[in-house]
Amino acid sequence: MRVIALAPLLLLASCSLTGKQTEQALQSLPSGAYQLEKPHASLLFRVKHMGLSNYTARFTDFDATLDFDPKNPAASHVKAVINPLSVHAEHPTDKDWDRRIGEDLMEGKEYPQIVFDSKKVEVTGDYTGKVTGDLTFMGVTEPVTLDVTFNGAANGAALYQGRDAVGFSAHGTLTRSDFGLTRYGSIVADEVEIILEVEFTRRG
Amino acid sequence: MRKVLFAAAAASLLAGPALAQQGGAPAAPAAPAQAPAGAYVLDTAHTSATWKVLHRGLSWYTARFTGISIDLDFNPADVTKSKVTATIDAKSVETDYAKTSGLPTPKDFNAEIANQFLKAADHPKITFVSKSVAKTGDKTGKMTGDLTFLGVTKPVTLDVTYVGNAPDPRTQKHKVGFSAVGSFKRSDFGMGAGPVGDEAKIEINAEFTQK
Repeated sequence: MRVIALAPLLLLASCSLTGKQTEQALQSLPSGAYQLEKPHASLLFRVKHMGLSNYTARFTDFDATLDFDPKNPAASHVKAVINPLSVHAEHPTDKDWDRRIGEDLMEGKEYPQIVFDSKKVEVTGDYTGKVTGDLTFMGVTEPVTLDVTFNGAANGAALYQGRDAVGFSAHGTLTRSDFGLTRYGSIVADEVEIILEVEFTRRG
Repeated sequence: MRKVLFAAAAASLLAGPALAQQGGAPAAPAAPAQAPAGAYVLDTAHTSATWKVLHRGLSWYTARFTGISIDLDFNPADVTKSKVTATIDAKSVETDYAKTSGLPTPKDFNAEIANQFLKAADHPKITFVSKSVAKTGDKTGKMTGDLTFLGVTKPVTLDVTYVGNAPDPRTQKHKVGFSAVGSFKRSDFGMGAGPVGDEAKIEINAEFTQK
């Protein structure tokens, strides 16, 4: 909820580029295949622990492809694959903690991929949209919607060897029991918040 | 409202089969409406310190500090009298770069940020000492304090949300939890422009245990 409230701020902050420049950069991007730039991508999840805190951890291994249409964003498609065994929670003492979340709790050995496959993109504002897709997690497929903010674009980014680049922030929530993940329901909330920061570059 | 939430939390704790499996912890007593006043220590296993900066106008690059300690003097009857002192180890940057698979050029990006940007050798500690707390709602407030970063001390205000309180089912000691978000200008602390925006966002999610 807080993240939603922050979205307009985030947009403003991104406009060291002015809105017009951002629009121009966006419109000048070619449509087609874009690939995740892993060094500039993060996927956090957040879940309430004992009603006390918003416990925050990260998946360190994920990839995504974007079929991007800047002139008609609703025609875009994104697919992401996440390795559940790549949880990194940074427990200060328990070296087995990450494995227990990824392997024991999320059953990452049996279900080695978490997959998000977009089915619908709705444009909700100049730089915002809702992306609804099928999330397959622990063998169950259910729809999940992400609120996405387009942050900016770079034509021929030097950082990326002259490739065109585009960046987004996204967040959403899912109900873990929808996917059969009910363990520790007495101490860990059912609702899980997903927080994504991603950059993509043009391929092909 | 708060009482209802706490009652629900306590009830779910009592009902929790997972806890019983974890070594037969005794049933937790119902959480009082207010956590006890006094000194609290950080539960680092349930704490995260996340920061974000806008990279090339494209994405809010997200990383963490893993080394954080916070002392809380909590006054639930008058939260404006509560005090916080936080210390972050500037070398404890965790970008998870080393854990990212399939990168063309492996490097110690954690050390690069700590040494080149945060000058951790000269300024090993980032500290925040609260100076005032203003209540803005039932569970929200603004905490202003002195942030010392790169040897410069400036006021920074955090938006704090009180998440909840509950007795630890194993130790019976009381716990409280907070979320705090804020931002500051890097240039206020003498940091150069670089490939990222001037605004740095911070978010602390923390649990504390009664001392």
